[in-house]
Amino acid sequence: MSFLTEFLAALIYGILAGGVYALIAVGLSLYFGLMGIVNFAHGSIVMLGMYAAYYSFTLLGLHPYLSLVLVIPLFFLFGMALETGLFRFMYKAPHNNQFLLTCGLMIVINNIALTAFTANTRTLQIPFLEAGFSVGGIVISYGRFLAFLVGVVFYLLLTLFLRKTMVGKAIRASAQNREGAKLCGINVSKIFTYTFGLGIMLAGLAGLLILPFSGAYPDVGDTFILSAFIIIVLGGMGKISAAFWASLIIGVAEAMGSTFLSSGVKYLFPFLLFIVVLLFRPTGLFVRRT
Amino acid sequence: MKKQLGLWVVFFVICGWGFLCFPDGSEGAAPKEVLIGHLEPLTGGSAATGQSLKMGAEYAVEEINARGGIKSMGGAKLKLIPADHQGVPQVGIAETERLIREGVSMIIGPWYSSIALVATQTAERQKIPFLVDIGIADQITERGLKYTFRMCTPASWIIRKSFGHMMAAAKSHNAVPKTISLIYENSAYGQSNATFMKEACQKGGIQVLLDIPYDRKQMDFSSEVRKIKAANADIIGYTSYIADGIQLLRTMKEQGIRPMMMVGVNDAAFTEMKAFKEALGDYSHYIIDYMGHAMNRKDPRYKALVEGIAKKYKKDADYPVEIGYQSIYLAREVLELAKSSDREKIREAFTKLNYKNHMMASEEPIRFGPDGQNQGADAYFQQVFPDVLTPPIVWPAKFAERKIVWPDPAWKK
Repeated sequence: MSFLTEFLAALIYGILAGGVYALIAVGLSLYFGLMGIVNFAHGSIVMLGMYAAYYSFTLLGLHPYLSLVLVIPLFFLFGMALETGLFRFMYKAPHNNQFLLTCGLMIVINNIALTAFTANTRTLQIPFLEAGFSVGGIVISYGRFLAFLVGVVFYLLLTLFLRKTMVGKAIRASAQNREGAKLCGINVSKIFTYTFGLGIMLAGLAGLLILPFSGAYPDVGDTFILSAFIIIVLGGMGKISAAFWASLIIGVAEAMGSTFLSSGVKYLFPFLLFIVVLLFRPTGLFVRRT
Repeated sequence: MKKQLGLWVVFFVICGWGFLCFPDGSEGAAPKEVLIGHLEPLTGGSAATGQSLKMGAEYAVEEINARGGIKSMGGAKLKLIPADHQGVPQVGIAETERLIREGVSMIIGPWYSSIALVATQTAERQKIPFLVDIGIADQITERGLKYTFRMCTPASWIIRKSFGHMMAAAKSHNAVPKTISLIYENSAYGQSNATFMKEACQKGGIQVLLDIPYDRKQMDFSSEVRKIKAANADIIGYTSYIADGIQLLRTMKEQGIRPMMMVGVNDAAFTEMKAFKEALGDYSHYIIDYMGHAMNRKDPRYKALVEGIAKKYKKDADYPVEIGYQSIYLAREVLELAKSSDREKIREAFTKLNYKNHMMASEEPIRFGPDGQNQGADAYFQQVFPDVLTPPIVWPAKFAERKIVWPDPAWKK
């Protein structure tokens, strides 16, 4: 057990764990950057994504990765419906009202899940995903590895979409200057709907990818949401690449903490980092000062 | 003036009614009914457990009444007055006060140590005997309360006694552990279990290789499990809630860890055995858990209870049903000795009790120490088997429903 192997193991585990955080934080960052909505119900959407994957496996017999074809359009539509039915009316409201609304939404969704799915922990039994493979004595879980890979692919696709397509450019334009975008003939209200749909879709996708190596229960979302907010503040508001890299940093910091210190203080590193960044670089690590 | 007269009339009528209704105590020393308060979580997160406790208690009350009630009190009947603490301490206090107002002779309950701590204090102030059926926090009987008596086994005893059982089982199978790795969730529940466990290991000559507290909202156990694998201890002792426990054990499965024995130290995941077995499959087999206070499942009365509950309620007599049933029989024994529904006499009977023909899986009689703790309370091992859902008791041998499997057949030395 040399120092180097342990360091490498912590690095790999940290990056894989960071990949999971990224799945959640990138979606949140996307619409947070555009509309400035602080959505505490984002974690609950991840939970719904887990249940969607669970039930499409148990009821329809769809392999969790195949249920992508179902989850992606479903959650995109769900996101658009949430935006037009609820969030649209909150953009001009003060932040504390947004906070109350999204917290309320979180409680409502969690309790509906509790009634509909009961409090039992649901897990998938797929022998392949329950195993791991060994690289130089470091055992890596297939489930986590695949989640990381698929997550990175979707992140790259999203980046391409935002850079190369007209809608993507319109989203970026609306984020930079709402009034200017309107003057250029962009239907900002429609762009908001699409963006929110995309963010919710990513949350659903995150749930689907996390389920094979963890378990679904109604308040599982609460475990994700705090980390996700820390990540987007640490990285810098409104830039999805910032959220992505910050996720990896947090993941690695936690893994290093539990490898070289104690698991009890593994959250010390990320939070220290968070405080230091807030003090010296309040715009975030990856966003330039304006 | 007329109005005032009317008010006076109403006042006298109310006073007269109150006077007529107030019992004058002239009915004699042997009342026809003894009221017993039963404080459990009948709604809220632990509602299912509370309902089972109530079912077991009601069943026992009916049985005792049908067989002639309390003989030393001229056949007085028992009457159960249920109360619901909802898992909320404030409600627990209010419901205890209500039971006292309704004139109960004693109170039995509750599932939740946090409620037991406050409810017993309320009862103490009003001098009502309180029988704690299933709150395991050590402090319940460590506060010098005179009216509190506990039937079940406190947490520290469970670990100390189970540890002894573990070593005895290991010796009898010629596979004695020398090292242990401990991993536990870091709230009061996991921490206190780990503290008792470390004490026991120190006294028992087992070396603690790893001592890992974790946050139960943690999403990834890869680094922790890697350490556990490297330490390669004979025993892995863990304390978890359900979701984190599943995640932890799944990661161990992933990394191919299998010690001489995987031991749950008062593991809460064992209360959700269905989800536990589903999530872990074969990996769950032969994991052992420490448990406190069980009914002797070889006693013919256990079989009768299981059959009776199945017939009457169409349900399985689970662990809380056993507890509810036994607590009422214990109360009957106390009442027989007290020969009265007077609270002071009942308290005195509790201190003098020496109940041998009990149903608890213990060779000792039920006797309450000066602190109110049942001195005969014991602890057990339950083990997961592939073919049954509820893990049977496997140790001590006298009360075992099945033979213990030790060491784990999948042990990777």
